[in-house]
Amino acid sequence: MPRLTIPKNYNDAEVLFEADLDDFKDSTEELLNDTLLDSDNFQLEGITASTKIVNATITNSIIAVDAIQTTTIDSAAVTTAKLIDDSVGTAQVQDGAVTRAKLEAVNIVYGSDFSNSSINPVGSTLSTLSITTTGRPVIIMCVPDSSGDSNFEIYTPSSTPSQSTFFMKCVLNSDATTLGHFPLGTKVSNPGTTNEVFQIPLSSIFAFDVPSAGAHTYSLVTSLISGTSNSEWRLSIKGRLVAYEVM
Amino acid sequence: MSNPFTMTKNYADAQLLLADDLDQMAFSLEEFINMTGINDDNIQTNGLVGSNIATNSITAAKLASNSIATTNLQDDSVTNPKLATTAITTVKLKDSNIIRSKLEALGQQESNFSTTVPSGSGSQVTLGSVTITTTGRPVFLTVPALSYTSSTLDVGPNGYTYGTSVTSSGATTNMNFTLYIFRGVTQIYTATIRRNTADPNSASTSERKITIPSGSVQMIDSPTSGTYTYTLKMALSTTTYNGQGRGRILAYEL
Repeated sequence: MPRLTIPKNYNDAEVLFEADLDDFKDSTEELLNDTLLDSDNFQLEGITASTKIVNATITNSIIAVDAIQTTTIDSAAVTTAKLIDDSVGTAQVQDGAVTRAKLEAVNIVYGSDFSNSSINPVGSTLSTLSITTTGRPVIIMCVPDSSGDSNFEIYTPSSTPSQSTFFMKCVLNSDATTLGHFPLGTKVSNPGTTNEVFQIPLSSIFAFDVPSAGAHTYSLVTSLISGTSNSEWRLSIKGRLVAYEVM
Repeated sequence: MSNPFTMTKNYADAQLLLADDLDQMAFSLEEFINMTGINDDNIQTNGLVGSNIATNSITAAKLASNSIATTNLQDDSVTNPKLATTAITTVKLKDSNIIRSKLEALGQQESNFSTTVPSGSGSQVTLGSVTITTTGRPVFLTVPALSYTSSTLDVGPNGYTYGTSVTSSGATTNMNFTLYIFRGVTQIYTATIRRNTADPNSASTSERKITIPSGSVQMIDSPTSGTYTYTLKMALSTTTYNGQGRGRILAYEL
């Protein structure tokens, strides 16, 4: 506890020697030059930093490592600009914290409604849609049209067909690649006495694609199964394509 | 910066001490304290403690721009309340770091059903329903299998249940049933399953039925946010067949 204590070697009516004042001088110099001042020489809260410290002079090198703790940081003070890119990793995200509201919108594309009740010959394109993806898998499927109606049916317009095996198919293409064949057919042993009809849910047409990132065109076309004839059959189909990128 | 204090000394033994001699001492001390000022050299290392600084007196203006560097921040000190709302933008997220456990639960809603649909003339019979509350993203609907059982949507002669053999003298050559999905009262899905055939010719003695996997029923619906009840229904068009549905109606928001 450095205190300035000036020895008093003089009294009234005495001869004042040089040494008497030297002690006064030396003790003052010693405190300021050797002992030095410490916190006891400053009043409690005696230094008002806001007025005594020059603005912007507390630089980062002055602030100690780990000096800034949670309680020092103002609420909501860490804004986007303060975060370095890629700073938020798995450990920083609470389990279950990424709610749907935080996800980007589903990348979903509906094709136009299609409806054709008498397709023959086969080979026509029913629908196409384009979707631009980030490289994640794509679900592509057929759903009812915008009115909620759908159909996937083969039938004979004639009530007296002569053929006994009837197959047609839809083909789902991704750009120039065939994703899948979706045949629809039946076989009868005694044709020729009624209109043959076979109808199943259109939503049976469903595929999972893993394309590269970019724009892709999906198409639904009708086709004939090799070795079969469709001369007596028609395809009736109604609905729409939908594709979405799986999150 | 060296900052020694030197008190002026103009006196000596046996000399007459003049007022100026003491004035010089006083003046040099006043000059140092009042003019030269005290600096680091006059203060002990660690000589100043926090209590010497007025509370709340180190204001933002005292901090240089960008003065708080990463090393100044204590690890884990930037807690959630310290982050500004919507501060975490895409570029702040490390690629591939939002792993599945970070996502909220899928929140799928499902309901098992096993329902016999009596023969009729087109009346819609509810097979099963499920209610889901969404945030506005598309809803995927399907009818997956029940565990360890065949999950089917089918029709057969009156009295038919899945896996049984029924001979029905009333069977016709034409069979069909229609499946519907309603969102509330809005029909969003219709699919008819039909088999009209003359084969076998002897309809009166043969069991006829249509069976399809329940999983062939799938739908994507895109309603606005809200709570919706999706209902799967079946309707028959003839009086000589009954229908049956067994499966699980499943809905989840994408």
